[in-house]
Amino acid sequence: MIRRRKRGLVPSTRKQASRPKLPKIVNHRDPMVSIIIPAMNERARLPSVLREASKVHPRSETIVIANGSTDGTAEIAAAVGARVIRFAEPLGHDVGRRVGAEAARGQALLFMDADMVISAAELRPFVRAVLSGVDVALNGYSGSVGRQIAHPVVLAKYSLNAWLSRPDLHGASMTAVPHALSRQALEVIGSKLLEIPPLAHTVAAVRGLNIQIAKTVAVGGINPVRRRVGRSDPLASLVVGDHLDAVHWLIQEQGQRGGYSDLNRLRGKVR
Amino acid sequence: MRMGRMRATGKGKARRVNIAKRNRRKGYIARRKKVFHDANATRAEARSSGTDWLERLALQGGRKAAAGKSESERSCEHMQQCFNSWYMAHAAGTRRGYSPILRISTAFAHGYAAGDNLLRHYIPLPLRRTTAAVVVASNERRTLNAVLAQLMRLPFGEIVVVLNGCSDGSFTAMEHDPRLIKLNYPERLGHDVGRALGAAVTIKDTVLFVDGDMALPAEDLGAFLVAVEQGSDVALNDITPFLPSFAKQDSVTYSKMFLNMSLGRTDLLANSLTAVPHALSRRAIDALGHASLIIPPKAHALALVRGLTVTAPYSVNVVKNNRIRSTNTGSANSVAGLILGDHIEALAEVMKIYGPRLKFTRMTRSKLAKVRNGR
Repeated sequence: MIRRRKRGLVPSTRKQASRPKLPKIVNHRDPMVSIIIPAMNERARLPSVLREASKVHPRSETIVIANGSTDGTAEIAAAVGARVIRFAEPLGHDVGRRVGAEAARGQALLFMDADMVISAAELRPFVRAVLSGVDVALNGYSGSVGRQIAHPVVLAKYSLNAWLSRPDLHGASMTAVPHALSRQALEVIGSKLLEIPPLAHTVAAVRGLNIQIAKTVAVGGINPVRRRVGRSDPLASLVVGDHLDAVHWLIQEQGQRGGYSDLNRLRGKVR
Repeated sequence: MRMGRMRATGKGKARRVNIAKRNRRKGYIARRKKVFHDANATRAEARSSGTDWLERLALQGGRKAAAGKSESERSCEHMQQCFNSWYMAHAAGTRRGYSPILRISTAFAHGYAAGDNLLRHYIPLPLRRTTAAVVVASNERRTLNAVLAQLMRLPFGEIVVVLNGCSDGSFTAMEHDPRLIKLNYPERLGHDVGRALGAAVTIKDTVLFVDGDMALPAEDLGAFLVAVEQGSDVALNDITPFLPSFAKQDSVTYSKMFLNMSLGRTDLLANSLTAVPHALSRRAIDALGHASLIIPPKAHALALVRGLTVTAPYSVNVVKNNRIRSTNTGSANSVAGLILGDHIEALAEVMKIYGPRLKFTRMTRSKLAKVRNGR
């Protein structure tokens, strides 16, 4: 009891020494690359994430969309030197990305999450791809595919790419980070659609944008495990629903069969 | 006794080693085949075994049914009738899997046939419902007769043959069998249209659908009739044993799995009405309408949505024997495109009922973020 109280009163020098020094970000006045990071209560990982972001490209700006945070996320981001956009309410990753994209000024937009630290070396290929002509540079990782059955989200990603006649993309999707967009892609897709990533992905494919896998970063292992509601995983349900929204758009855009022929079925013969 | 058992173990081990060696030599095809055999065997084992006494009884029953009947009085139809009433009297009451039923049926046929080759190969089944088969063929002369020969071995009341775009005189033999109903269309109807037309002309209770390009053993086909008899509305071919790992599956398989998953039937994996053989109950055909069979995934989705009993009771390897054509090979083949389009059309249909997101969450992203990241 006594010891614990003592520790609370006397400032511990050890603790201060072990805290990492905050990185320093200088946002370029005329950025080529905008790094967009939605963050909600990510005080612990944000400094490391920002440190890697700062090393991605010499002419870059880093935008942190601090939303629904009560742990000083916004203050840390500001102290590091990032452009901070604050929201009291939680937005979710995808809405955060839309907000960030609207504020971005660069030619390449790199999207990452604040909850996992990915090294600058692994982030650079996405930016490099976009700066050399790719419109949508995706992460090749989509989850575990070694067994007969994959997670519903993985299945949804593979299926959507199949229907978009892009089986070569396997399970790569704008649902996953990191990914990067060219300014042209942003204009074609429209920032609003970034809120439903599979829909944005579908629009990009149908509108003929150049979509490529830039690198495979195995984010599955480093993505923190989240709270679930009961037995179901609301995020999985949301993401699969997003894919269905994308299919619905495809149907409206390309017709009942998503643009596929039925090899001249004589449907009228059946009455 | 002891020695004997030990020797058996030794033999078993040697056999296992041999199989392992062979599998290694042949790559993964051999392994898949083994899995396939295991799948139906496991299914058989899971249900009641120990039908030896019933098989003996069936053999006697068969003999008794044929006793005193002249050559002309004995027929496949008569055998089926006798088997049905024998089964009701002696074997009904216990719900059996297909495998023991088949063993009992074979024993009865042996007893009844008493050496007659045609009768011996007939497979009577315990069916209270009437049954029909629908065969769709287009220039399949080489295989159609073999397909029909297998179907003749089963207690079908009708066998509907839908010929379309045939220039090779596909229909030669078998023309005199009273069970055959022949539909002939000079033009090619297109994929799966024949199935719908075939379904339209029959009013039988259970309808089995097969293709004219692949002769499957009657022993396998019977499983689907029994499944419908036992309460399935849609009895699908279980292709799960032939599926490779997710990474190696193709676009068509992803589509089938996605459709099942999005309608809450992940357990069906890639099993679908797109694949033959499958059987439908009268209830299913009436509920779906025969026209919906033109686009099999659409009928499949509607069957799931309308609460029909959809099962995959049995595995028949149709991948191995499928005729290789220029249109169904390669990753970007035209038939694959057709099936992808079918699945999109199926989703479009169910979206009309449940809305674009079907039954998936409509929780706002803000609410979800609060649940996941709130402090």
